[in-house]
Amino acid sequence: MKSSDINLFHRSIGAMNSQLDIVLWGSQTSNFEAAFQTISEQTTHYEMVLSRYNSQSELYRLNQNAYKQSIEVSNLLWTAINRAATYYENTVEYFDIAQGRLYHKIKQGDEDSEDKIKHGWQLELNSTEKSVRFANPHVLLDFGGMGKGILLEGIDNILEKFQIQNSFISFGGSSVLTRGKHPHGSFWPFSLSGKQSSLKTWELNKHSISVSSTRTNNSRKNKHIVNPLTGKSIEEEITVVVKASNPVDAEVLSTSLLAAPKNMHRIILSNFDINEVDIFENQ
Amino acid sequence: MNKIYQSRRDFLRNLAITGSVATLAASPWLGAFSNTPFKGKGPNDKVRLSVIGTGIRGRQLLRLLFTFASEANVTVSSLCDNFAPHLEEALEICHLNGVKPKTYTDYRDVIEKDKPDAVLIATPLHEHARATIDCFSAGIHVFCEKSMARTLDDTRAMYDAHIASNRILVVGHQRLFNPVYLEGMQRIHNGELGTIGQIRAYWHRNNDWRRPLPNNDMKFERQINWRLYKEYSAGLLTELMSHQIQVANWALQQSPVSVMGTASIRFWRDGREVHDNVALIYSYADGTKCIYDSMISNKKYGLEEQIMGHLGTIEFETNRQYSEKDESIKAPGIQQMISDIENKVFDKLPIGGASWVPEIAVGDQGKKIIENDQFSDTALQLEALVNFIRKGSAPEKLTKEGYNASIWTLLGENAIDTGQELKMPEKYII
Ligand SMILES: NC(=O)c1ccc[n+]([C@@H]2O[C@H](COP(=O)([O-])OP(=O)(O)OC[C@H]3O[C@@H](n4cnc5c(N)ncnc54)[C@H](O)[C@@H]3O)[C@@H](O)[C@H]2O)c1
Repeated sequence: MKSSDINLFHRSIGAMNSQLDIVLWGSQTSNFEAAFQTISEQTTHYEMVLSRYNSQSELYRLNQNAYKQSIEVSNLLWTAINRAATYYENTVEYFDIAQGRLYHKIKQGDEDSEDKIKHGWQLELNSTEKSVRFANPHVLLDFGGMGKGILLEGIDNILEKFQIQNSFISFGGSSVLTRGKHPHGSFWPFSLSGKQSSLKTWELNKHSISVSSTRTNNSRKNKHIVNPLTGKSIEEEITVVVKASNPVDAEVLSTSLLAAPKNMHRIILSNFDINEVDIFENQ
Repeated sequence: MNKIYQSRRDFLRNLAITGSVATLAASPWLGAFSNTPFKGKGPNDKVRLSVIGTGIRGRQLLRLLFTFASEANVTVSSLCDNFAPHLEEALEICHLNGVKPKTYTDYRDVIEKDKPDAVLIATPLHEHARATIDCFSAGIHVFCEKSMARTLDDTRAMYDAHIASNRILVVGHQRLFNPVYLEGMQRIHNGELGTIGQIRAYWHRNNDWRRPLPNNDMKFERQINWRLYKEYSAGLLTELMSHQIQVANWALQQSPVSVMGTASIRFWRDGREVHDNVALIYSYADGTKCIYDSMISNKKYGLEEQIMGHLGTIEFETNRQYSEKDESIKAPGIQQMISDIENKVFDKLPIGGASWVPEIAVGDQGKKIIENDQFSDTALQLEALVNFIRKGSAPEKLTKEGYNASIWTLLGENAIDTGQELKMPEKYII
């Protein structure tokens, strides 16, 4: 293909504490700019609902108030919480958005949080009112293991609407959504960055891929994956790569497989419809 | 003497190459900067300058003068200092440059016997006013080191004498001629930083701010370390802050409406009278604040003027401009993917990893305001001064900058001394 036919379009925006890179190509060039604008707006909107850190967000207010009283939530937040409830079951409780306070403490280096753990689903959901109430004061909702997937799912819908055939959308390299193919091949050839790039090449068409690791790629040893059932952070160096057709599934699963002990992997995987799972240890 | 910086000509030639000339030319007093050669090459057109006060600063002014003296057809006709060793050192510099000025110990002899075209006054602060006013009475132009005077009334009297005599008064705030500032101010005034909310400025050093006394003889203490005594100086305020309040006013294109402050002698309790630790807040009519501090027992943060707008920040002393916008940093791998595609390469895309976060807040090094920063702003100011002298006038705006900075510096001292928030008394408004 001549490069003049490719019509490559690339934009980046900051979102979800990361960078969202949007790469599009193909014949629908007149739609690229509009699609990008729509993506930008939607991303801002989703963050205003799902961000735990932004004091103006809907989630922030919910976290502040839902222990005292039951709070009605928007459709977007309602759907997200209900999906999280399903994931909680399907991951046999290893994916738990209600443990934000625990995750936060561990990140701060406070390993002594065992007494705070409350087993079982800690949210009371009223589906006629679409309202949420926290069962105990320790609950703090955190969509960190799911939010990028939700955003990518939303982006996929936008790309569909604008009839964009070929795209590579990346959230800081950890959550990726693709459509179509690379201009010079029959798929998008995805690999890990740095030293791990030789491990494997994933072939992506209409796919999602999520990479999670117990180490961030900052050199500092960074405890950020926590087993919610024991309250302990995961010490081993493990990287999980999940390729799936749905970006939320991919993201939830890559986190859950890090948090859960190995003997639970088979049972968790049996509840998901995924393409490939790779687990790399001690890389 | 080796030139460690560029002359005005070299500088302008380089600017022409980098294309910033238009911006600089748009600055109000840069007529004096324009790339026309110095006029008046004949011996009778020689500009005759005298340096009054040949201490550290006076000698530095001399050295800088000699870097362009022959090109600009300017000479040093006399030197004046009441402290013999300093006078000799200055004379030595002149001799090295083949110039034999007359020497005096009383500035009145400069006025009456030498009759130069202009004087450069670099005596201690409390001595600035009477020399300046006497020069004006005799029709001599004055370049006076900052800060203008020790008292508000002396400052006003200097300004009035300048107006009455119609002679040039340029105050030694050399940043007014510094191309980094000229370019940066242009951008600020064009709105590139958006609405300025705060200016933070500071000057930190870690030393006792003393100069050694000849033979350690205490009888020289007040002659040499005049800046430590209230009678002669307002300490850090007149010697350091004066420059930075001038920068703040220039950036905001207005003078403050009030100032409050507090200060102490915290560390150097050695008999000095001026504070070694000061903090002030200047308020402007539109709500902008300039938050200032200076101390001399920690040097980690050095000196800076930070102009902070809702769209960006300028840090003048380090020649840096920062944007508030998310200056999109390319994620690793993505850039390679883009160039692969453009080069028709189909290879694996090494992009995946546990979320890569662009560390914009910590990693943003900003960009230089101007690339070419090898110059001496004081030399550029002196070169401009020579042009002003030839013309017989300098932009009044320039003099007013110096005046207002000097007044607000002293009002800062009064605010500290009285513990009150002070406004400018009517009689000092020009
Ligand atoms: N623009 C700048 O960046 C800058 C830098 C340094 C100093 N300065 C200013 O320059 C001035 C001098 O500072 P300095 O550090 O050179 O001090 P200094 O003490 O080294 O020099 C002052 C000189 O004036 C002489 N003097 C005192 N009274 C005199 C009189 N009545 N007649 C003639 N000479 C007299 C002293 O003997 C001394 O040699 C101050 O106003 C200071 O604020 C400006």
